[in-house]
Amino acid sequence: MNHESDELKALSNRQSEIAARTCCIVPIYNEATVIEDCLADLRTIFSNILVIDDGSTDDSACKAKKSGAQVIRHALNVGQGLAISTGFKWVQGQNKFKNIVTFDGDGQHIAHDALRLVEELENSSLDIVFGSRFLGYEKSNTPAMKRIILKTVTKITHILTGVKLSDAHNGLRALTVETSKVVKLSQAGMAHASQMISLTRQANLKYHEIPVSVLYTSYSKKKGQSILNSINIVADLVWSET
Amino acid sequence: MIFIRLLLVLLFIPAFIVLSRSIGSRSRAARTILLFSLPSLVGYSVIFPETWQSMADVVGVDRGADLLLYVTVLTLITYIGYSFSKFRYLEKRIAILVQEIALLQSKEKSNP
Repeated sequence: MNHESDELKALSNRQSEIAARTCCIVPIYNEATVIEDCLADLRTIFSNILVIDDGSTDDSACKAKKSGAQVIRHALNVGQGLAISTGFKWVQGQNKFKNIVTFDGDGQHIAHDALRLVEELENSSLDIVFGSRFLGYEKSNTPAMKRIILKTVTKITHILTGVKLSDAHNGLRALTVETSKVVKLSQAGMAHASQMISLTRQANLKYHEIPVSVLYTSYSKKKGQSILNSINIVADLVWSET
Repeated sequence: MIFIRLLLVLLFIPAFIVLSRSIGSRSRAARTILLFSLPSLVGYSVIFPETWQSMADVVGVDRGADLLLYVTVLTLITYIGYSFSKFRYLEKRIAILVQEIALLQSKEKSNP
């Protein structure tokens, strides 16, 4: 966690300070193929990286550890929501971080976007900043069907939570540690993303949404959420809301 | 005829929600009564088939077999709903347990 790369030194002093008081939470499940590259990218900016291995059956955790990240292992695969919640609790117990970034471990996100989110969080004194792949950032290459599904889930989330965002299920977010104490996730699965938005509304948190890239590789398309799983997400949300 | 059907549907919805979603002791007892009374009712109706017809006449359903079908469907769907609720409840408890173990192990590693 204390390793500093050459790229880290290339950041401005202000950016380095922001990165130093930020902990990146990377939830993973069987990401051995890409986790090293993902963490290498993150380490160009952030030195504090916490990987939550959600019961992987491959050597993801081992590779993450070798990459210099702090690793916490779930004994069973429970879901990304719980992995993030575990990360929040760990960071809260450390008492040395000001900000948290959630960053998917499948290589879809870019570390520099994460830094932009935290900069926005601090510069605008916000509680939470959501990344959006639908705000015109040219690098995102969302497949057409995925775009339709995500837009539908975003619309349903808007109806259920009252919060209007352009991308409800983007894994890249930045929030303060204080905010993480308010955002108590009970949705263990993928519906946690909508729940986070719902809790943002309930706690009257100051939020903003900024454009980020989401890179769809053949790996991430294969590994990512299936279209059918969006039905499960909506069912989880409706079931918990009723 | 239409009124009794409407009444059955209207009764069915709250009964389903209360019986299937609640995991408290009272609703558990209600489900047990429902589940165990069903085979008794079926056995009774085999011996006295006219009973269901008499009950159907009282509540305004055409045939006794239809009334038996409604009761059976209500019981089965309630149990499916209950099993789903119970499964979700257990899933949440397992999730909490997994998280506690993970955080404890991490604490032990940092303070051996």
